[in-house]
Amino acid sequence: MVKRSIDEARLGTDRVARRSSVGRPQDDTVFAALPRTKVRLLPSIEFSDSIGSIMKVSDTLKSALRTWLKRPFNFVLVFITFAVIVNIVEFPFIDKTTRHNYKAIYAYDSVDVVQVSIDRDNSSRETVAPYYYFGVLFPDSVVIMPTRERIADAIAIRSLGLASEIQYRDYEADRLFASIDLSTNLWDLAALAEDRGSTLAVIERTFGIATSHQPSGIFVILHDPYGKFYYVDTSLLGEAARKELGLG
Amino acid sequence: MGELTVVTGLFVSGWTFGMLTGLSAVGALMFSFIAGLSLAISVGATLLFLGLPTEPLFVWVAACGLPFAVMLITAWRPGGHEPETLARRLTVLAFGLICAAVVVYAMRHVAIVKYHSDTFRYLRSALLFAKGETEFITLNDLGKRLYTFPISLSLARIFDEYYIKSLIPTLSLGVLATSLFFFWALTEREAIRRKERIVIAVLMLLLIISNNRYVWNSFYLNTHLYIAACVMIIAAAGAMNERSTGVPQSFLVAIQLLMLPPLVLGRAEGFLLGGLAVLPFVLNGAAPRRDRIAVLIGFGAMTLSWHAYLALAHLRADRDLPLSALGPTALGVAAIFAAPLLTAPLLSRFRRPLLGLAEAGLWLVLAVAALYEPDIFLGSLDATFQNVVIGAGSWGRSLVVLTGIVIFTLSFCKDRRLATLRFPVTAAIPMFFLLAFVRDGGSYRVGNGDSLNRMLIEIFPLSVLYVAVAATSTEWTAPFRRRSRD
Repeated sequence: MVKRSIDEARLGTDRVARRSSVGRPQDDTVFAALPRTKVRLLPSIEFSDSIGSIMKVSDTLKSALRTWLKRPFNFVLVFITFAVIVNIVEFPFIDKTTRHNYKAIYAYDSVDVVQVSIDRDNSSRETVAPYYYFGVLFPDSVVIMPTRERIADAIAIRSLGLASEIQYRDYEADRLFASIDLSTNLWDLAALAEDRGSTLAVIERTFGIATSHQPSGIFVILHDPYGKFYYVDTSLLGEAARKELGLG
Repeated sequence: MGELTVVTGLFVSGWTFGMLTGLSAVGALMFSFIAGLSLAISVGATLLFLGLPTEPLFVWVAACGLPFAVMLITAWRPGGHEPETLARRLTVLAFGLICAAVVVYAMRHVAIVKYHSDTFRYLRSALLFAKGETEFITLNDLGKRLYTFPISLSLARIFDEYYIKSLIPTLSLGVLATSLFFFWALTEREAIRRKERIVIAVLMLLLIISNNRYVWNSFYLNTHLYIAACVMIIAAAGAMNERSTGVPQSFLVAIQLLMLPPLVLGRAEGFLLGGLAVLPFVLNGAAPRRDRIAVLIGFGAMTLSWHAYLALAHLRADRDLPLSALGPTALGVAAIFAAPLLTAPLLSRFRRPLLGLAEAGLWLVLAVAALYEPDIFLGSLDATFQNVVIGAGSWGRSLVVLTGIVIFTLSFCKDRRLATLRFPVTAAIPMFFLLAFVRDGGSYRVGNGDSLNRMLIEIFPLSVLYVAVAATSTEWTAPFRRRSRD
């Protein structure tokens, strides 16, 4: 009984197939929407209730799959496509859970990486800002540093601070600082850095710049008892201090 | 305007270098920026080693003028099978310059630059290099961050800025362009339809640019992406030299030699990656022996020069000579003297077992080191697992999937010609883990700022290129071959 119905179904499939090839145009909308190689399968789809046609479809699919599997190219194609899809799907989620400077796409307020890092990171406020701002304001300056103390970073003054020369002198930076009043000569650092919460507080805790109205281009490094250092324009120093530094 | 001038100069210089060594105008365009920048690094490194002033303007002018000077001296005339018209060449160059101008403009207006604390150490070295005060660069910065990136950044001092904003994005575009060039040239004579090649080429590029870390590295002020470009170009040029493609061998050897200085001077592990990238090529008898000797001597000379410089810097600072300077110096000397031997036809016959031995040797050394100091190895392994598989390193699952594809390819694709592309990738893995035993910080850490996590990008473009080229190969074994016999 089952065999008969399969035979009938096959016969029916053949008839339809013949009819489709003779009576109907090949560019029928159903046919046109599918690739050419699969067109031959279509008549059997119309008889999806028939087991025979299903078997035929299955055989054809198996054969197509076997042919397809013979080509490693197809495997790699699928794998790479899968890898691309994984990348695209995961992309926004990775950025969502990542710190701003590790996000693949993240827009800052400034195109300048130094400014961005000072705005965002305490470590840059302490190790980059004190030298970078000095370099921006007073490039090619001569900086006098104490021989024994290392509160300010000489290499950073040379590089980020763009100092043309560093001279070492034997002086006590904290004692010299206590002997002068810089309050009226200090630069307002708020004009340099945009305050994002603690930006200014950290910068102002780390360094200061003091100049006269006509900076001499020669600065001496002084520091307070708490470890904050200052670039002090030597024209602000008194006679004794200048003598101590060997400035004549 | 200053940045545009500097980038344009490097672009034209690199393009001229490509033309001079026999590439077509379009091919030269794809290498233009990377080649131009590498010329600048080579000039900067030469000045450094000779103890001459390192003025950025001079470095830039020399890098820009060098190809033109060679052109004039050798009375160069366009060659090749199909000489191109001047109009076509100029059109191609103009197109490239417009692209470069767009990137420069965009990067000076779109604020998506990326940084890490290392960025400012590079910046520090760059400013000292520009001022000719390299003696003040700390030994730590010298040994860990070297000179490639500082020299690149220092060119910004020509226009009084701290760094070139479009440097890394332009390099990133260069990596994509060169990947495409190598894929297209390497698969030129494979039995594959053009349409399929296009599909794979598009997928290869998509696989690279859809990777979150690749995009990040395209804006990140660090040397990793440049190292990735060097490793890929050296390995892929070697692979092309072995196959007889339409690309002139003069270009292939020249570009390999040109990428060695930025690679060796790029990172502490640069010379090791360089060694891994040149070894399969050097041992391959299918490539002309003269070319292999030239590349091996180039690698040896660069490794020797840099590490001798590093050793001298230690001596000047009254420090003991570190093994990290002495070992590579000896390697450089050995590479130079062993060049005739390593390229001998007899040795080339044993290329496959020798490469296998080298790779097995690395794994063996890693195993011994792991037994000796298990904490470092297990710590590194755990951190890398969390970074790459769990997602702490911001790679997502991309490297897991890519590793799967590479393992699949390794298992079933038996095309021996792929060894030159494959070896630097697979041998770099034990080498990266070994570095944890010699570095100051000990085992690798969990997080996207970890060294190994950032170093992985250095082999990423090459591994993608390897998979893409393998896809076009016809030499696949079981299960494919068995089925085809059914």
